[in-house]
Amino acid sequence: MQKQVAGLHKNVGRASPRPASKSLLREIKKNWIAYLFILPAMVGIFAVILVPLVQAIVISFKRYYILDILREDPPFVGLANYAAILSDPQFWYSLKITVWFTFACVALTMLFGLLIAILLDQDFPGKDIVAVSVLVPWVIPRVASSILWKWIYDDQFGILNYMLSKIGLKSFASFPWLSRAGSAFWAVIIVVVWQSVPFIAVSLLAGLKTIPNEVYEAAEIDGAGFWQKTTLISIPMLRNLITILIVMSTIWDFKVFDQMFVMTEGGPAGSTMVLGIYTWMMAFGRLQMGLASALAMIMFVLVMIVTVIYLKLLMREETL
Amino acid sequence: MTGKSKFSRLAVVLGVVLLIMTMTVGIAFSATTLEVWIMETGNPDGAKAFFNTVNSEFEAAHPGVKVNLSWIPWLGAQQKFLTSITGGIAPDVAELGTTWTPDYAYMGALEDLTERINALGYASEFVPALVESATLDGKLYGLPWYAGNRCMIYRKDWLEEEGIKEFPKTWKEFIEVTKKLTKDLDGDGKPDRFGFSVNGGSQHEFMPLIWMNGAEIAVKTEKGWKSNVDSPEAIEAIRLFSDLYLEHKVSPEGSVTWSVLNSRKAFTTETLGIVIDLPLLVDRFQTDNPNLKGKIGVAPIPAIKQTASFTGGSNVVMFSQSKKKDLAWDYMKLLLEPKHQLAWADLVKFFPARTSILNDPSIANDPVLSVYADNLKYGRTYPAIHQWGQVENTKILITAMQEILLEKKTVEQSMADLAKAMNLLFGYQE
Amino acid sequence: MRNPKLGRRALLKYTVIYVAAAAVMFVSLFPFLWMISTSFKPTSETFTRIPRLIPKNPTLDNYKMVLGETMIPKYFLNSLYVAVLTTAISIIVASLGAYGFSRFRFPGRTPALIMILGVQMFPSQVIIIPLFIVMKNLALLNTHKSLLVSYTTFTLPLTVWMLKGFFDEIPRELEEAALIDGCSKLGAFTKIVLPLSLQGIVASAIFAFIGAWNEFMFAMTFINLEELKTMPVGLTSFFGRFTVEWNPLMAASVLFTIPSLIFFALVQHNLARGLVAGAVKG
Repeated sequence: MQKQVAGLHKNVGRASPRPASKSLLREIKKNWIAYLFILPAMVGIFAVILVPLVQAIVISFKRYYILDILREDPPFVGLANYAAILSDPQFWYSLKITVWFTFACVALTMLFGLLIAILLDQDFPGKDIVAVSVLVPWVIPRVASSILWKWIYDDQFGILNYMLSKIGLKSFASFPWLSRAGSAFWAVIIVVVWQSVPFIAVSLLAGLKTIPNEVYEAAEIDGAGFWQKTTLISIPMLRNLITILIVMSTIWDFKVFDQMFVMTEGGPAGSTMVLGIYTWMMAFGRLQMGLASALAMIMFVLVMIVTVIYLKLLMREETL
Repeated sequence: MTGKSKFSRLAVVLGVVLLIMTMTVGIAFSATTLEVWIMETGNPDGAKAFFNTVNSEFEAAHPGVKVNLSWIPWLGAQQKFLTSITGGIAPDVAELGTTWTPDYAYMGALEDLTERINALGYASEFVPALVESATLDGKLYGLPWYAGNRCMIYRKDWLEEEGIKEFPKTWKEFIEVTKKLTKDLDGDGKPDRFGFSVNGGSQHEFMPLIWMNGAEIAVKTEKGWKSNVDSPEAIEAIRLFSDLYLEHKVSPEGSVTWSVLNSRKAFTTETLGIVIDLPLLVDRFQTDNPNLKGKIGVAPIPAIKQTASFTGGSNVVMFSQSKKKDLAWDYMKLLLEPKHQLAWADLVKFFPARTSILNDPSIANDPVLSVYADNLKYGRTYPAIHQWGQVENTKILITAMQEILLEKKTVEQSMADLAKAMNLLFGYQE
Repeated sequence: MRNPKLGRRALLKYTVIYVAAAAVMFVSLFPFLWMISTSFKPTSETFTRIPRLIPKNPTLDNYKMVLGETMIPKYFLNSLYVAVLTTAISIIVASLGAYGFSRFRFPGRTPALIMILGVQMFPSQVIIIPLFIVMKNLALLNTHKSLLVSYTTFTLPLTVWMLKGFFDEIPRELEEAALIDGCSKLGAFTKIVLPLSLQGIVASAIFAFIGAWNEFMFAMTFINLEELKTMPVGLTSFFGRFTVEWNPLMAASVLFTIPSLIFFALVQHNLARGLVAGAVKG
């Protein structure tokens, strides 16, 4: 790994030589065609992502109520939006459940992802069928699978309650999964995990394949069992990959929107109002764009902290 | 000579052809379109046929004008209007739900129709709840179109099984009836048939109880509108409702988040005995489940101190962005013609906004519609203030009810918090 | 002495493997099968206390209803239109960009790459509010252009990264030879690099397509004209006009899943490729 870091430095060094600005200019001139190649992509990203980001910052300092914009320009209100958000109990509640939601999703996704990857790393007849089936939840569009699960969770005629009561859990007959605060929260977690596991499993499997068989064989000679092989060889050797996947999943699950919106719309009684939903509702339900932008900025900062960690890790792994 | 006349005849023919062509092209280019948005109905084919008639009548009376009609689904409609207004792409004429009218009027999106409506000659005939809903600061922003109120739709046969001949007239009796209808049919110790559903996901069922208990949802004070949901009468009313779930357990567990979509499904699948709903559902239930034919009754909502029902419906509005206001008004007037009012009312199973038309035999002799029409006089509507749209958008009413049903808060706490939230939206300060 | 022990161990191992494999397959497949099954059932079989996986009286009524009486076919075509155009634009722009990043070492390259990676992690909730206002001011609300612009840009980071990976694998010597033969840089790119990385381009294109095909929040916010709605939004508003209608809803969901299913099948072996670039997650 040290080698890789060194390699990266070498690269950076080559790309932008430290000394005088003259040589920098020369480098730019020499590579003018490279700038031409990347120009369209960069313009797009600037115009549609970075400029709006700056606008969002500006709006977050304004009282921007949509119903008023036909009559007056939104006035600047300084930090009032941020103050309002930070003293809003719903925000703190949303933050809390978003963190819990993210934690639960990531932990479960990684756990099942790893187990499935290990399973698929074994040799057994019929493995290919299992490998293909695992991908199915990933293939179904998010909105379609949210609707599908809403149907599975249906209190009166849902298949889940039927199965649970069939195996003897009688109290689950007509259990209202999406109508109770706690169960609605977990019901959505299950759906998100169900859809995220395939990607994690495929990625981890690709990682496992890079571990040479000799390592395991050597361990077997030393008498290592399945558990030891997993915890002492597979996981440590995949540490970097696992970390990157954890950070990536954390960012994804923190932003969760589609599944939560389709399945609970933040309910019942606001109990599943994660930050992603709360921000959107503030903007397009309450029409308070200023407050919503302030909320979005807070979300942005939190996500960016994790993203920086992600980028650091990635750069250690990758030669850009 | 002949050659010349041949040539001139050809020239004349060519000239005529050219003239016709220019005229056609001219008309085609000068054709104005009138953008009209109408909400989707339960009878799409009938509605399309109705508007084909209206539009061709209109287009015949206004040569060169084309009506472009779009169907808007109720779900998400509010947001659609908002984005179109702020985006400057609103239609000329639209049907607007009654509770939304003040909101858009306040935005300045709607044309003031006061003078035009007063000049109609039948302005005094309109269903009062509709006029109230279209009025903001003394000005009329919507032309009342149709009214829809809610009554109780129930399983006659289930009531008869329990020896109940007549649908209860008081809320107390109603509670007893719902208890009798709630049953554990498969003997697993949990009821699987319910008397009623509290529908924590929609407000039109529980809010009217406040009126029924003799209170108002909000009152106008010197300092502006003030929420009244924390008054003792309102609290008592809400408790009567939530107790159906918490105390009497006559409502399915999941009904905390149910909306009418779910209670209708439960009624159709014969797991629910009574729903509060619109008249058009009576037919719908019987087509969806033929087994229900002849087993459905309709009755006014049982009274606490009095009866009341949320009376919504639609106004037709003109957007101030419209550049064809006179054309738009002609179109709106056409919709209010008695024959069109009756045809439309029959189609959507609602009632014409013009009360003089309510006496038409097609309504007065209909066993279902007559019950609803009789109760139009008890119809109420939410306070006609522009902030009401925000009360609905932010879902604070639903949230308050769900908090009670989930026992996160007591009725008193929840209503006190709701009153605070409403006052905040109203801009009311003590 | 050792053999029976090994046999027992192998037996145990295979028992564990097959039990686990069965569980995994059940959890992965059953919901999907249930969706298909519901879509072929008449309503009467859905609202019963004893559900069955194989419909007793399978029917095409739900599909007929969805295709004939609803806006679903229109939503589907809208989605297809937006997703295909997004993919095309994104791939053209991204392959140029990826080539620039793969073949040149220029000042600002590393920061630009890091930015692209970082941008991908942005919460859309941050961008959607100002973008909504911009779209409103440009009168682009309720047009497919608003979606094309947003989707193309949001898929760029992914496609640029994936394509850069594929380009990196093509030996430079091939182009250098071409350059010596008098080919321009752009010529070398279009005549040598693009054909050689066709497989990678197809894979990236499919991921771009799936991203646009799936997108919900922007589509819900920018479009509310019925005839312009895309599939995800149309599906949620289809939830029910009068009651919840699960059977046609599942039929529509199946239709919505089919393109995604086909494309996933095509890139199956390339799935792990998207890893570094991130947001391939459906």
